[in-house]
Amino acid sequence: MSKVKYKKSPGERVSELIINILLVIIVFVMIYPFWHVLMYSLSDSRAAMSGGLFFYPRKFTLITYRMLIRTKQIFIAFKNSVLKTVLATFFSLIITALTAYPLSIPGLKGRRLVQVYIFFTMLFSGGIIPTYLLIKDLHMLDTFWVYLIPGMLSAHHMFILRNFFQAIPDSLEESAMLDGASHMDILLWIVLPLSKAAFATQTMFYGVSNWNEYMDGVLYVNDQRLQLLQVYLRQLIYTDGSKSVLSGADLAASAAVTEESMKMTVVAITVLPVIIVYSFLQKYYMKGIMIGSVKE
Amino acid sequence: MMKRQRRIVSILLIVVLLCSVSGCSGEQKPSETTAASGTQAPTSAAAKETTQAEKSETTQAGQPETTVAEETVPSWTADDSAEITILVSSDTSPDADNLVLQELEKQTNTKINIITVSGSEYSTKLNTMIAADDVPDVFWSSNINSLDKYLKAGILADMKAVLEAKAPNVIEETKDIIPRIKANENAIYLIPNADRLYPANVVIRTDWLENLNLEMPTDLDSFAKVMHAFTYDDPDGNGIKDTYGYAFEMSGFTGSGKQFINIFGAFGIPKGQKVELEDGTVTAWFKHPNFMKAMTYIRGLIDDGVVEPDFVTIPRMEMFGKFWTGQAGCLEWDATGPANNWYPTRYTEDPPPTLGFATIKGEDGTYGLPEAVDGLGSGWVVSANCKNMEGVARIANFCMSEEGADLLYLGVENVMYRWIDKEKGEVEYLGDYVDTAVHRAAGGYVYSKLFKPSSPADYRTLMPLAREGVQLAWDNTVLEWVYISQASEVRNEYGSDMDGIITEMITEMLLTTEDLQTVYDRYIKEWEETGGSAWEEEMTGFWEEERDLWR
Repeated sequence: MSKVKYKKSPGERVSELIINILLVIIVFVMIYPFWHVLMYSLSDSRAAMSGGLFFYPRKFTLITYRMLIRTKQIFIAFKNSVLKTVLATFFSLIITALTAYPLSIPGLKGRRLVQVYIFFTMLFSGGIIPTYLLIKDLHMLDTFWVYLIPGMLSAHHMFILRNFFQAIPDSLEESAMLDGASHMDILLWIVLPLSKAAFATQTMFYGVSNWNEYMDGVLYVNDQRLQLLQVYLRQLIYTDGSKSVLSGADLAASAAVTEESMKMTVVAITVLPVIIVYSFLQKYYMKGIMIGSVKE
Repeated sequence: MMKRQRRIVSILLIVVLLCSVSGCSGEQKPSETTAASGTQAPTSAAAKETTQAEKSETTQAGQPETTVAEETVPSWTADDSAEITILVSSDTSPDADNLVLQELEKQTNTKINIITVSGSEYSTKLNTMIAADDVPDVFWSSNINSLDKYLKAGILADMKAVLEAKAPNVIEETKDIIPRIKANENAIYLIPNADRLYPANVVIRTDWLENLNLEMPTDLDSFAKVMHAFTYDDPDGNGIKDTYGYAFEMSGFTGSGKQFINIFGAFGIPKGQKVELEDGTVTAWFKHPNFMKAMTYIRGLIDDGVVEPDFVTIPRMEMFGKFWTGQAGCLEWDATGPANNWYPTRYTEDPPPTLGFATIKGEDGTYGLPEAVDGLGSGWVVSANCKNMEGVARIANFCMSEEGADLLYLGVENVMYRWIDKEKGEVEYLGDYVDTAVHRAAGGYVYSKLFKPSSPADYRTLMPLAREGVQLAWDNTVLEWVYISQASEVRNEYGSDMDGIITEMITEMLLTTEDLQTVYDRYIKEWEETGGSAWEEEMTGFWEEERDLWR
């Protein structure tokens, strides 16, 4: 069968061209801020001060990156953040799945009550001070547990996953039950393998929020050995320009880097891991979020 | 069916709410009672010691000798095994067990845990810790209202006795400041830093003055002429009109910032401070009789096009950038920035600009600045729950010495730095510590605000030009103003609304095409109705009480 070639009318071609141009502009507007940050961070501070657009580094230098990695603390903070992101995301996924699956089973007794109870936490939270008191009473202050346990279950993510599980045809589970599978078997061998897209999305959600988490590190942790990267980097960019550099002999070396360059470097370091992870997971991302959000 | 479900959900929500409320009103723990009773904590601990001492006296001599017991037992805590927690606002996290901290512990025979939090989160962290009865042993009170709040909550220790006994440096360094603080009457709750802050200079590019054959401006007329020439006469000689006279940013103008502070000074107005009017009323600087004249002058500069036009939107760093990149020839900032910290590497021109400082006088020869103060409500305070007040006193005493100030600012001598010429303030950083990042990781500079003495290392190591500028600014702090060291109830209630009105007023006065007096009258009326009049009354009353503290 020969293919019928559809010939576009001039009007369609023009509108397609306009749409493409608009899309290119939108892509540029979306991507340029990140590019600007990266190029600025790779530019010499003095050359960068004149402002304007940055399509490439002006007088390429890595001095700000070198300054950042010269301290022991950044490696400690980086290790803590990576560990927190990996462990907290892993445990969160387990707890979320173990909560979402039973709640997706229509016949479960008390299901509605539990859902309302969890839903309530989406509307109201304890507030900073009661939460601090709770964490203090649980002896989690200044421990790594504070990064893992309090935020282990997100009600929002749990409901998305529950909706996803509900969208899986009941007949699959019923046939497994006829073959003698328990609920745990169904979850492990039927539901989870079918939920890769949803889990990729959840990993993305939890991973990004764990990586970006900041206030936990500020409020609940005083020990520098448990400091998170975000807290360390935030401190670096919170500088008063007038007082930010030492006077004396090392002045020239330190003043050669402006606060703006340091900020750009910090932003680049913070965002880069998220962009890398997203590029691997993005194909699942839209799929996962659509399936999880729309109930058939 | 739906009705039934709704009813169940409603009942559930009510139950949860009731549970939450009952959780909040539980019985007070003993520790909470202690915090609530405030200064009772150390005194009760001391009282316990006194009682024990009294008992032993009774056993030995057969009759109680309370006076002897009071003399021998100190009225402060001194448990050297207890770690002293200090909450510090800092832009850098040094390594956990850094050299400076180790040396500070060694010098003061204490165990110290310094928690560094960046400035913007400092109050959140502190307030949370206070609310959870987890108060750090030493922390910074940033203003009078905070101090008042801590005192009313009873969480502060009176350090008078222990400081007088164990910290002679602190007593000596702060002897002129402490009596001025109302909260410190017959007590020392607040230990202020003793250093003198750096007021703003009018920093002017002298290379541009030379290029244009102009003299350093000395009065308002010559200042306007120099600004005009910097804008229209091509001071950098590149043949392009790409320069302006003066650079500023709005947030530094509308608040108590440094922009135009010397210009207001030429009209006799202590910008950002309180003033006493002829009828004895204490009010804010923008109600000074010359305020309209000053604003008309500044508006004249803007209308003449000599002020860098991005002032409405740019943040502070961009304002500095205008000066660094040769777009503006004048900036009001303390000399330590332009002539020290930024010099010469931040300046993009080759060769870098040369700088000088101007004193601008008004029509009747009026000039000057209000004294730059951290605020008499700001300083270090000690928790009533602190178990080692004597250790805190030792730390404060050491930090308020030259040796201590050098340690906290420059680091460990002969390890991190060495003096080349101590008199001239010339130092050389050693080895890897030449690198700022490494220096700060080892604790250099990071804790330098802790109990600062009157001659801190940062001043002693300034470059000569910066020192000259700082000295000039100090010499110019001749304007009279009113300082109240008591918290204002009215400001607590309406402060942000009142400030918002004034910010709006100043912004509009700089940009409007309307008559300035009309704009001014309208906003001042609104300010007075919002709480300004009540605040003036309150301040006038306070000033009656405090006037003598200043004379």
